[in-house]
Amino acid sequence: MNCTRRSFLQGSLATLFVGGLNLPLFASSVKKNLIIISLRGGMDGLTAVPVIGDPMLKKYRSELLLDEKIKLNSDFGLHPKLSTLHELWKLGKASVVHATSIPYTQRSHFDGQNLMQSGGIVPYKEKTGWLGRGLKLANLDDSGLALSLPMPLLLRGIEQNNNFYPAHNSMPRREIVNKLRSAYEGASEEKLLNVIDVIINRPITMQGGNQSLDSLSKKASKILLDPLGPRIAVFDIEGFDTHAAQGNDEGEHANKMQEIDMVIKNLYEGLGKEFDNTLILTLTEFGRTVEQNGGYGTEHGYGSAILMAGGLLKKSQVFSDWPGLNKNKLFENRDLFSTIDARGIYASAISSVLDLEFEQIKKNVFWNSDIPNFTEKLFKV
Amino acid sequence: MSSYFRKVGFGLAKNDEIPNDPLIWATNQFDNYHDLIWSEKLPTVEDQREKFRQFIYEDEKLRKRFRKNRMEYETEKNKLRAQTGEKFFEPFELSIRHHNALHNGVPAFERMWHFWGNHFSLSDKDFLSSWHYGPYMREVIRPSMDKTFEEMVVEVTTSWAMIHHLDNSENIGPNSIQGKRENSDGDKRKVGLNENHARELLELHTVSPASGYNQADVIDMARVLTGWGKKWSKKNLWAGPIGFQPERHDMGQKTILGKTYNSKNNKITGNKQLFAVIKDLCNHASCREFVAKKLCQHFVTDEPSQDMINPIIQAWLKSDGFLPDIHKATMKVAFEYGNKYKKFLMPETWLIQNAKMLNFKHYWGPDKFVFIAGRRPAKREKKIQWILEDLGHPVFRASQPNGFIDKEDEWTSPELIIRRMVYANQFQSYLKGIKKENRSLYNNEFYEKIIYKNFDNPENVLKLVLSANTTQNRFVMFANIPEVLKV
Repeated sequence: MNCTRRSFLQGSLATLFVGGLNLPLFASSVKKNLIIISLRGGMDGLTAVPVIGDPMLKKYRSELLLDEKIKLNSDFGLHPKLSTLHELWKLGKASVVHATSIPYTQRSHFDGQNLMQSGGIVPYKEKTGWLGRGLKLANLDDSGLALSLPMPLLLRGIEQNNNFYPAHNSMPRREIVNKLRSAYEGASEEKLLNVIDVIINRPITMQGGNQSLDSLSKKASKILLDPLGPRIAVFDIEGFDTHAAQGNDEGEHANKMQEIDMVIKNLYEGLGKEFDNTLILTLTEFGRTVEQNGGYGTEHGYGSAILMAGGLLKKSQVFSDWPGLNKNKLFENRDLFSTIDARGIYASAISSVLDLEFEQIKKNVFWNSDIPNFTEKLFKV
Repeated sequence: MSSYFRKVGFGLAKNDEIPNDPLIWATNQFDNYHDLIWSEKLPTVEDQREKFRQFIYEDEKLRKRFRKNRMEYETEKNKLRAQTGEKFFEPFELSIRHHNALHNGVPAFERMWHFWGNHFSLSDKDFLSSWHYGPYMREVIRPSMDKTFEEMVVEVTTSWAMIHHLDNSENIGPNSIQGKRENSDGDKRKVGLNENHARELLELHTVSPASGYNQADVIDMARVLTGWGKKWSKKNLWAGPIGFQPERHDMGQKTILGKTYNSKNNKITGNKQLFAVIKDLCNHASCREFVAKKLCQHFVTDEPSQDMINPIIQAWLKSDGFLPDIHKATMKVAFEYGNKYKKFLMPETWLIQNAKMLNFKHYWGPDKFVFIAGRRPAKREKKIQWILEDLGHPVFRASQPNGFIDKEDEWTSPELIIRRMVYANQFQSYLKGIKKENRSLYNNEFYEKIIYKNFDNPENVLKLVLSANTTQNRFVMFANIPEVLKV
């Protein structure tokens, strides 16, 4: 292995503390976009980004190994379905963080998905998401857009989030919508009032389209291109809980890789030169067991990978503090260890995109938790 | 307390009699078990499993036969879908569900049925919504409502649908007879534990994470569950019946939440072990607390207080978990706290309440809804499924095993609120079965009648609804005012 433990962490400890004004410190006039793709079910990082430099992998999961993998460097490969990500890699616009997770080890989807969004430690305790709190801190109250029917916890914490997931039939007449607005106001229904205001003020770009991931990601590019529109988009992809028949180059997990790649492709093509002011980042609640199970699938685990793309990345790299796959290096002798607190990646990403000082985010978004700063290693600042 | 009829039921229609005592009206519904009303004989779990078996068995043959011809394969596959009712039974079962909610006279009982179906939710995978969710609701969940919670958990845990849903057939003891054999026979296929069912049994169905179980508990729970699975055969493939297969069961001692099973003092082994563990889980304080809280959350408020939960726990303790008593206690809590707390309704309940109060008869499909092998469901038959999907609440297709989350924040995104407006705007089309001359029944007097029956602040509600001018616009107003969205 080329990457040795701890070597890369040292620089990040020397970050200067900058006091807590609630304003962007390096405010730029450029509109920067952050796109989150939530991979629900627990993404198998070892299939998305296999560690070719570690001979142990074969021993644990002979049925799940990729036949044709893309080689990223001497240690890591890439799933063949992630071909757009590979194109971007060649342009210096794709990165992977490997052996990473939120600090949650109990392996429940629901608790894990709650924490990957809230950024907290105790499931269901926090009622807002780290991205929502980040937007609040940056005074970007109406910048969030979810490409799903419900509002993800991730974006909660600001008053006016929007979501887009087009219905088939038409809205009632405007005068009736206005009457409903008055009814909500009259009844002091603050939440409903906020929502109906967002509905009334929807931009023209938020019309048409359908509910497929393909259409949603194309539509999202258009909405993000609006200089006054949202700058955050959150996608949900489900189905990563591959307990059985996970497949390798083809199969269940491969189909999911293709969906991720399609979203990235549509955003890359749709955003055009604005892709350079964009960061795409994946979330997942946990990784999966290193060893395959009886049904050629994998169980809930711990460490996984974060896939990133966009011009706001510093360069193409696999950023990792590789823990190794020997049984005694695994978490509870079964899962890939997480050596990088994913919250540090999230915080560094919003530091770069929202032009906020890392320390401010650490303090106001992550309750001063002990999270490392990777901003300079990973992102353009 | 006029809103109570909506709080625990679906509201009163224009010609319904107003019950004298709302609380007694509600609790009486749990004195007896209520069968579903439906004109035709309903398909059983076994009937539907046979159709599923036919589907996967014939599909495998088609795959081989049309290996090289994708188009022909798709054509034949569509015929097979129609032959086995793959697209038919979801709207069929939804129609039964909505027909009963509206017309069988025990709306509180139906609400409770919906609640348990969501507590023990199946999620959208492997054709569960096509053939299995309906019979699971009718034959596993519903009859259990007349038993104890423990009996309900046993029924659910050993049901075909839940075992299929949570992969327990792939949960094989590595030290079992079959496990040892398969792991030492030289071929690469290895078998082992699958924790999926074990984890959800603890987390979602019974004690919840608040009980403090850890990974070792989950592993031992999975070991207890080994052996329970579908019986595979060449003919049945993975649609075989559920049974306990001792050769797959992981023998030896297990410890769950501090209690040891199959030890010197506790010699419960084999298939009986699961029943013993479920008994202990259901008698755990965290289980009562968790379920009582969920009941309050469904009927009263997103954030119930301990005072609200306690009477349900008391009823549980006193009756040894007898569900009709727990249901009655819940009705009482909803009655006592009903004036002070409002609950944002999930879309399906909201839709049924609107249909009840506004007297829509045909939104859920035709009166005659009979499966004929080979016939594809008509558009009007599938309508109910599409409506629920578009409202964000396809009740048989939860995306995850924790079902639909019963909290306001889950249901108030702009797009979800748009859907309610869009569908209320469509309500007019549900009048299709009604003769033209009867449509004029939606006059001021109609609204006065239903609003005085169903709302605690009728003057205000009536004023809001009548402020809209057409039949269509009044539907939109009525369905989306705060008093209808929340009760």
